[in-house]
Amino acid sequence: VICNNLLDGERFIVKISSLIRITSPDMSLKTDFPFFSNNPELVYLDNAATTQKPKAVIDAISQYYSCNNANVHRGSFDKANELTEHYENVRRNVAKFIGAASKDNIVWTSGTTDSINLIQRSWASHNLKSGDTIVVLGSEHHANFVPWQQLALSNNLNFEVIPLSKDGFLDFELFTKVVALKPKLVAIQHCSNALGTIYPIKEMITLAQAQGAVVAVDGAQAVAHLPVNVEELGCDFYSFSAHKMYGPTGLGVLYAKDDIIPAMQPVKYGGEMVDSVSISATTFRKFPSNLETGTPNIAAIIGFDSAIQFISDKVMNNIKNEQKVFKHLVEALQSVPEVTLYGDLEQNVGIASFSVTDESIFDINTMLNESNVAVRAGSHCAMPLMAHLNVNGTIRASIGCYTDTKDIDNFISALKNAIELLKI
Amino acid sequence: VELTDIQAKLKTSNSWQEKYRQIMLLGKTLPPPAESLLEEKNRVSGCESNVWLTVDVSSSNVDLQLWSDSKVVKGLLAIVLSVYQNKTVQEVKGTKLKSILEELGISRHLSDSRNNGLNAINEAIQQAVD
Repeated sequence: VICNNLLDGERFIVKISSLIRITSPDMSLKTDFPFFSNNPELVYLDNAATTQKPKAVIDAISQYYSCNNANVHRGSFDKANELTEHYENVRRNVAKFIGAASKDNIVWTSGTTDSINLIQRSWASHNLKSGDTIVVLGSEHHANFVPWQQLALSNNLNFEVIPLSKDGFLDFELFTKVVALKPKLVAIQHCSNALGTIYPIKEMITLAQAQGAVVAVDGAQAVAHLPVNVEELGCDFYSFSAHKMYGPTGLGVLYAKDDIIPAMQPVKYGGEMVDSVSISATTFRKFPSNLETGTPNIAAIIGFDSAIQFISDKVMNNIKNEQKVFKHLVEALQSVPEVTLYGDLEQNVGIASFSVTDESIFDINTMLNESNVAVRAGSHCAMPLMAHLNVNGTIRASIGCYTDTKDIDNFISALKNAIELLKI
Repeated sequence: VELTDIQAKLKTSNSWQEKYRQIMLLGKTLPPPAESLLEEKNRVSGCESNVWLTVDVSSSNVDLQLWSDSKVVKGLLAIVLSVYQNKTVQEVKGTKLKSILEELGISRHLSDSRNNGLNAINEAIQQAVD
């Protein structure tokens, strides 16, 4: 690790290398990820669970610990002040990345789950009253389902779950009807983590807000695969995780719109979130500081800066290719007679969710694992959806920016072998 | 099925494919389940696949009934059955399933979650005879 004014230099190198990429479009993004040179045999198709990390992210974290480690917002020396400036700059870069008006709309959390729980405790538990209604989709991840179900149970709220169609599609008419009942909160995922479906959230947000609802969007599966602009969407909250977008684990983001910020209250108390403390009273700092206490995950935040840069420079230029690889995956799966695919395969973020006739998904997964294919078998933290689709789980193959058609072909060949082996 | 036969078959399996084939063939020896076995109350929690288990200790020897919707797990259950079926309560208590699976050379082929599943089944059996 070389300690110098790394950031500008690094950015420069990233920019140069992205220029070089334009002249050689066949070069796989895999070369940016040390994981793949360290695991050349592995076909990694579990990107909806977590993505691999580019070298730039790993280096930034290493550089931070090796050269720049200090605490933020506390130091009275140059090193700490410089770090604090960098740290707040990342907040600015995140705001810019999702089209937020200001860095003051961005709260650091530990992940999407933490972000959604923060909405529940900081805003919903104070602002929703007995008899109010919360609406979610039937395909929500448990992280955007259980917090609302539990709040409804404890505060005597109505909890409305909008079921998908039998084959896993959103019924927009039904959504319109339910939203006309004037719910106070509509909590919806941007993309289904189990099926990959991209929901028309712009239209859904507009409809729900016209009926007076606050809209909270779970963007965990969206941000690494499609451009997101929260100002254009108009949502009140937007949550996502760094580790699903080529960034470090243990870090998430909650975006909150200006209008709703005054209605949010602190939920964790401690250092740095206070203005003044006396024996009898405490006054709190402004948002977002009032929701952030204790030393934050500085290393992850520094690493996240590089991840955002990586997505902006490379991944967003690669979306067409990602969609091409996904189409290849879907067509290959459709050619296997025993496979049943679920959900919308056109408006999809890169997740193929399927079952195999007469076979346990866990048996298929066991065989795929032996063939060095990493997928996920199970309910994908969406048990209500699995019950609705009448399956006890699916196999989920999810792609990332580095997935290529060779990965898909290896996976399909392993799948066919697994099916053959299980015919016993 | 005798444990020694299982051992012999698994020993001669050179590839993972052959090992799993042998395990799944063992699964075919599992007696078909009575309808009463497949009730919710008999489902073992902690397994990713569905596993149903009853342990009858009313006679001097332990009587196990086992079933799963997974072919691989059914094979593992056949091994569990060959280890425990018709043994006395004392014998069951004194058996270390884990070391038997290690000797068969299949424990490393089990993922953590599947290992946990087998542990859950073993614990349920040990609890029932305790």
